[in-house]
Amino acid sequence: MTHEIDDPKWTTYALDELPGSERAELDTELRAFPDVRRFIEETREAAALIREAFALEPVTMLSARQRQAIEERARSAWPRPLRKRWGLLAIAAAAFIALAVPFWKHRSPKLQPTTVREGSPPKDRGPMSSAERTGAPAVRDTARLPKTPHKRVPIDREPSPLPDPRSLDFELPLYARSSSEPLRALLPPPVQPFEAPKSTGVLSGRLIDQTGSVIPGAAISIQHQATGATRKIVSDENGRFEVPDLPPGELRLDIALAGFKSIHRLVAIKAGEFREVDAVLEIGNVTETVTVTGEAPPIQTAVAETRARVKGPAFVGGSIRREKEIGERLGRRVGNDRKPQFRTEAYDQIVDNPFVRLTQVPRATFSIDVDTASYANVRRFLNEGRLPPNDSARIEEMVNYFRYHYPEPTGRDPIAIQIDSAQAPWSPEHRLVRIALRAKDIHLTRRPPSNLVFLIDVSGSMQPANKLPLLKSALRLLTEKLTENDRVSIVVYAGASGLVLPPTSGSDRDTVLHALAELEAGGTTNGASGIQLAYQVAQANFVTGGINRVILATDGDFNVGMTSQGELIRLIQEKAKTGVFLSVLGFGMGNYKDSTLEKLADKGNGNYAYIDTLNEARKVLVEQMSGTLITVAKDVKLQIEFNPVEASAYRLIGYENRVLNHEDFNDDLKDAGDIGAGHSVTAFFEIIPPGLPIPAANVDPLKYQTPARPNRTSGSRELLTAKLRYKEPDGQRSRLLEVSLRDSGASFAEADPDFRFAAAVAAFGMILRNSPYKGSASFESILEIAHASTGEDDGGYRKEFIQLVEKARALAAGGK
Amino acid sequence: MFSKNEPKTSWLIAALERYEAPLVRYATAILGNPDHARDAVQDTFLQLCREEPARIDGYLAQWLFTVCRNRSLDIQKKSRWEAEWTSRAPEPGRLAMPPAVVLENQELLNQILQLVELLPENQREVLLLKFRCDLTYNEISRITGLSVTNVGFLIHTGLKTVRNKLDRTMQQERHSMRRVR
Repeated sequence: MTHEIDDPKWTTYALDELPGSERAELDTELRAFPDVRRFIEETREAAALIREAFALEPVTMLSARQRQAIEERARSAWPRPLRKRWGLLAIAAAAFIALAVPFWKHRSPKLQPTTVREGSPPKDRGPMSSAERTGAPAVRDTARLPKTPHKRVPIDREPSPLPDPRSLDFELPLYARSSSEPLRALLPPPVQPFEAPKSTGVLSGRLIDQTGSVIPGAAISIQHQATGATRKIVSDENGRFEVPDLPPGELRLDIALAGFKSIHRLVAIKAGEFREVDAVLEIGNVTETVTVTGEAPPIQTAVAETRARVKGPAFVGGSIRREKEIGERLGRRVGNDRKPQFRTEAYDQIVDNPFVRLTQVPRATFSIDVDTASYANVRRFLNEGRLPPNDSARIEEMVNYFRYHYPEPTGRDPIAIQIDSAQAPWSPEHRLVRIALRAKDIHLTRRPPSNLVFLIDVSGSMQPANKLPLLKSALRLLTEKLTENDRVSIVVYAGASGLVLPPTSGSDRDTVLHALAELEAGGTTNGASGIQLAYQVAQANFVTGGINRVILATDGDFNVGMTSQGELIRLIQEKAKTGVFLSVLGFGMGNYKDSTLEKLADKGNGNYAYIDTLNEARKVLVEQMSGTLITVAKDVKLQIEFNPVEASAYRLIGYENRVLNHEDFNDDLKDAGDIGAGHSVTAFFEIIPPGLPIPAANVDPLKYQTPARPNRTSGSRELLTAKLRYKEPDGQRSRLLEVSLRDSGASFAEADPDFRFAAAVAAFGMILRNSPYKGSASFESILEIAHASTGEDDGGYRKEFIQLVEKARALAAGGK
Repeated sequence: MFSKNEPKTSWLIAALERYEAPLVRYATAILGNPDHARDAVQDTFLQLCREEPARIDGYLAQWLFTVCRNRSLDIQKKSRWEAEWTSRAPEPGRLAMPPAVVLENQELLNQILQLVELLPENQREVLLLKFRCDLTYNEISRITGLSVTNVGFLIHTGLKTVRNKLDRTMQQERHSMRRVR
């Protein structure tokens, strides 16, 4: 019997919510597992504390007048025989009304209040409740109170005598029951006789791309031209949007999503109008703009589906500000320091690598990192109008997000290494050394056969548009690229895991697409058993000499406890040795557990990308497909030895969690990062020339030995020597590459554009991290460098970077 | 004068006594504004006045929270509109904690409340319904439209998060105290 301590069933048990039979079953299980018993006890304690905490809250009650109104009503107005109450109404009106109320039969047995639904279908609801999404209980519909006309008992603010109770009735007359079918045919179709004329209009529509795929997550902004007031929403998982309650007049509609051309359009809306505006977004640079002409005809309609809505302010928008307040109250500043913060997003704390004296440690050893997730995540924060938490900015991942034009390897080694140096832009007296790696490219057509197992998180937390729906669109893109050489399987996990697509040829696209389309979020997450199943499938279909990879797509809200996370990592490490590698695609926000996912990808000889938009998905899964799927070298390690004649101290920028022990460099049993086809990797060292002060290197001189004297006779004038070790993807023994650098003394302006741009990205990372080593770096200087080094900028990524820096600058200025 | 209605009237007054505060708290969580929340609750009870007690006997809590939730969502929509077109509405926020001789325990409980406040909206809602309003998983499921399993999962996750964070802060505090000494 297995037991998972972090299973909702134990919480359910602890709270006495289990039905008797299940409870008895668990009782037996419990006897065997003391850790679960402890968990249950702790859960009960936590529940008691939360109860107590809630009880401590100040209680808000109704006002005296409101209470009085209710009590009055309770005594006098009740119970009134319904029929009698309405018996006085005119018969002719009755027949008319009767037809307007075709819904009165919709009654659910127990729970229905005696309201009859309003004459109009629910086109005007509040934010979509989950009941609507799941199609669950009809209670919401039937119990819903009508909105207009709606007279309310006045509350304290405007005391007035209580109105006639009858004016409070929102019900429709119940003698609608007397409607007779024959009459209906004789009368003209009724036009919502009970709905007050609307003073506002509704704008709705759907966004698709050129292939006809729907576009979720696009930002839609609607500005009322007369007042300048603006509302913003995001298209839902079906690419739809709907904005109710728009005041009549001219509206400016802006639709934007990174990677697509923005759309601007003017739309006039009349009171009571329901207007549909559909749009096709074209792929393009972020900065390009297209103005669309030609409009869909306005549709006057009383019937509309419920669609994506702006979410309410209280539960959603408030939390950020409140988080800040609470942080402050607890003596912590949120956003700009490195202290732990309250968030549901987990980032491991990073302490910037310090300057190291060559007399103490003359060399640096670290593993490469091809991940790019941090940049996408930082972008997400900035696009949401927040400065990212310090620890979410990992400099090496930000720098490596961009493509650089490093020379490809020409010999038999799959990696080329190039080193150069220039002035450090943020500390002009320091030198900046760039170590640039480039892996050989393997053209997609020459890609070896593949065995891909998608492991997809379909738990309830994956429901939002930027998670499962985006994931499905992303995998659709990838599926388009597959051929008969590829086999695809899909394993899902939530409460239970299962194989929803057995290994299927990539040429059988329809089957794959169908399986993708069927995926739905719901249930709880149990990452561990899903991973086991995925690896089983991958191993059963192992392609020798091909690509064997599990691609895990999740928001990282793994339902694994502390102990099982260790087990999970062991499992992944073990499987990586058998040749099945792991890629991790992170989705969504809120529950996004960055550090766990990075660790998993790390241990599984894999890579890790954060997918925030469809465009990002295209970059990771299509443009860089070979890099994501084909590993050309594994366990790539770098060791740099510095010459103390030429330098007194060095600092590795970024790669904080990739630093290795020096002895690990030659140890082929030690894991390190992998590099995929066509990938480039950049690492920067900041070097302090001899004779200059060394910041923050506050170490006492050695008492019992004098530092070794530099070997002047070597007299090479070399600044450093870089050694690189790598293994072939299926190899066990490493190969060594070695390159030396003589500092040319180049100024920063003389460096090539890739060098300058990457340095700007590193400086941006240092500012976001509020690094003590950022020197004179500022948003302005970064913008200046970046503007002058965008180069060819395929895909517009560098221009997007400039926009992000500008956003960060505005946010930082606003926060002060 | 009320003799005929007496049992129903007292049933209603009892419902008011029992559920007024939890309902206002729940509506405040949705609406963020205590005045709007009160309006929603008033509407809910006025609606209840028109009900046949027999129809909702045994489902009273569920009925009240469902109606209150729906009413709150309606109001939310309306007030959001007003707020958005008339620049920013002031953040209502949570009611201030009673200033006090802060007992250690009270501090802990305040911290818990703050942690709960930081949970995702769906977790926050179910925790509130479970631990403030004392509803069962089944009732919460019917009120929110979530499946019972999902309710269980959300409560589990919410509790876990609060516990973990609480552990962490307490550890940090202990740690920093040690450093001060």
